Amino acid sequence: MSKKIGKHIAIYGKGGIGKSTTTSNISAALAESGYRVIQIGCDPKSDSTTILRGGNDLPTVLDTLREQSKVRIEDISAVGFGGVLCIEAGGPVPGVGCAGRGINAAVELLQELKIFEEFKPDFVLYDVLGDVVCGGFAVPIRDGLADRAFVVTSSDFMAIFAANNLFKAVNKYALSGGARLGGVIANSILAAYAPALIDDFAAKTGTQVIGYVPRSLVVAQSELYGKTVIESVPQSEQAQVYRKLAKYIDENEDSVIPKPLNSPELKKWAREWGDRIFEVETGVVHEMASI
Amino acid sequence: MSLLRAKAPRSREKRLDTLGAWLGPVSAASTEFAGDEIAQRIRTFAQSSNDDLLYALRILAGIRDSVTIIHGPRGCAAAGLYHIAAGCNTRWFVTNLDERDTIMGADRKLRKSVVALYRRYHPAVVFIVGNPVIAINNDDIQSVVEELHEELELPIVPVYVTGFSSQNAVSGYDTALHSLLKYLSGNSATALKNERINLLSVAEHPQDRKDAQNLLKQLGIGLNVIPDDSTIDQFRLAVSARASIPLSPDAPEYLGAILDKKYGVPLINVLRPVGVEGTGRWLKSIATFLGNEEAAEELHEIKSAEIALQLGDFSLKGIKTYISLSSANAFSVLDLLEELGGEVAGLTITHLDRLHVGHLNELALRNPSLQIHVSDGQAFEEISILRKLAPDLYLGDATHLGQVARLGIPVVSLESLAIVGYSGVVRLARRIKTALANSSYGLSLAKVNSPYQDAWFRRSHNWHIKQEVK
Repeated sequence: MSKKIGKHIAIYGKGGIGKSTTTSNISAALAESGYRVIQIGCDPKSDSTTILRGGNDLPTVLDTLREQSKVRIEDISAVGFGGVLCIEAGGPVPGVGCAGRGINAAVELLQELKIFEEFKPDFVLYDVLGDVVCGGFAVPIRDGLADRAFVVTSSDFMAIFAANNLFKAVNKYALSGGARLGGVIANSILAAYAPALIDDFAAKTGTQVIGYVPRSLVVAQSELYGKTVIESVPQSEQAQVYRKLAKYIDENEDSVIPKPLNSPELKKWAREWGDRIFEVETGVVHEMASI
Repeated sequence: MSLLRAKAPRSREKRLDTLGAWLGPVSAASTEFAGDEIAQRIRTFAQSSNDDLLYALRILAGIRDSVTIIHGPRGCAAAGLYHIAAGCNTRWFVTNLDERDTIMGADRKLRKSVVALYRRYHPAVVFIVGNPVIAINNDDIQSVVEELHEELELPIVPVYVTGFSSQNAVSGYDTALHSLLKYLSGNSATALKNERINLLSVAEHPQDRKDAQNLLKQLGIGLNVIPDDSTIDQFRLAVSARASIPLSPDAPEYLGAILDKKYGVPLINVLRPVGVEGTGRWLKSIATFLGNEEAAEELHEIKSAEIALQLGDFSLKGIKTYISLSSANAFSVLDLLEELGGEVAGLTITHLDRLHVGHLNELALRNPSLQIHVSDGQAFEEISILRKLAPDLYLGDATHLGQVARLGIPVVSLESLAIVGYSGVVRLARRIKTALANSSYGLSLAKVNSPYQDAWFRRSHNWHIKQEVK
């Protein structure tokens, strides 16, 4: 079997958690260091690469497939900041079809177009919606496409819940040639307890947090201008955070098969954290606790 | 990307610009295929259609020491019934997925089936065949394959048929052959070569295969016949053969091409050994490769003389024949009929693609106005064409022979008639002679009312064939 061209990384996370922002900034940081990068948005919303492209329109793979019988690489890709090749898989018209199958079809087309052979990337980043890990959305991690998966999560329970679900999928497919887990990216860190909560979740599931991205106005502002932080405020601390993440992904090959929590365990874990946060917020002092 | 890396091969439409619907003179087909882009055609109405699952199962049914599991709802197993009806003696099962399985995933059921069948039959290989339900659900076959392959120490081969990736059922052959090659042939391109020649036989009549084997044996050629009536050990040996020769350039094309490109087993590109000249050409092509032309020449001369003697004064002079067969078969039968002095009135073939360009170009020079109709199962179009052309004889497979006979045209079924090799010429000639001599049955049938209305016969034959516009 021929060697895969470039390192293929899938980044999952609950919708709205900042996964596309994080992925785009990592792509930008990798490109800034001189790497050739492809970012593929695997989300029917098709807004994964917007901030790499200055907000310009890019026809999705599925829209193009619907309208043209012959699709060329130029029809479905755009070169964004730092030469990152941006692709959006897209999806069916809302309310019809199967978005999961759409991802499948888009990935198949990219392989047919020999996009990796043509572009010769050092990195391919798949930005995948992680709310629904049905067969279609699991394609990047199950068919030997990505070598490693990363999960973006905040300290919100629903984001952790989605991450845990993704761990279940990785756990299932890793043994049969699927991707392994590279780690957790803690995003939108604001509350003081957030890093500890995500650290604890990572420890309980046998994985690790590879970076903490603080909640920042710079990110929101850059997004409004249709840019990544790396491009718009390259000297900022936030840009440094993304560069660190990119460096980690570049230099570190560690990966594990996570041990997801089952439903009662996850509920129990969440309740314990609920209690702990309540105690911190209300200042409960336990008996014998040294003050 | 490695040739076998994907789960399934690209469809024939994408690989070879295969058309499943077309109507026009051979000159137009030749011109169209001379260009870079072939516009796909679609049928706005189809009477019936074959499915790639059928074709994939046909390949798997040839591997004797196997068990096949059709992983899907029980209706999908109807494809297996077709092969029972066709006399295939293969062991196949269906996992009978229910509604719950389609929602929750059915890997547990599949695992249980593989283990149970392994314990019951101890096969050398288990095939797991997909279908539309599995493909749409992205159901997980792969982890069952990986897990049980180690646990049972048994090759388990997933065949990712979708039923919708291609509009041409012939793609199903490629899908099955892709999986066989991927899982049974190993990676070595430098396997130590042996002296055997692969005889590539896909969905051939057993007598055809036997006749071809006998001819090659008379030239002292050691053979490894795959995948029809073979074992997985024979399949494994194929990568180390000296060369491959196909019984048809069409059905086993993918197998021959991968053995050539990935494993360095040269593919001898030659048409079917049908007709005296066709058989001679076939024998000489392999003999030339092996440096044994004289023996082939000698055998050809002896056999040709024998056949000439047996045919006597049989001639098809003045007889116009319509041929309706799978593509490579149709083209070779056309040559044979012309060799017997006959004329061909028209052709219906199952598909048309870049593999047929040689035939098309040759025919375009010889008989440019000859009409080619591409259809797999559209009897209604064919009957209308036949009514207009009014040929003296019809050669086809069994699917709608009855309807053709009702037009009063003498018919010969090639469904169970072996026509490969020198003896095939005599067999076909005898059958034709009988059909032409006994025309009264057809003439009586012609008195029965047609199932079609005159309005349909007044329509152009390509009424439902449109160019795909996007």
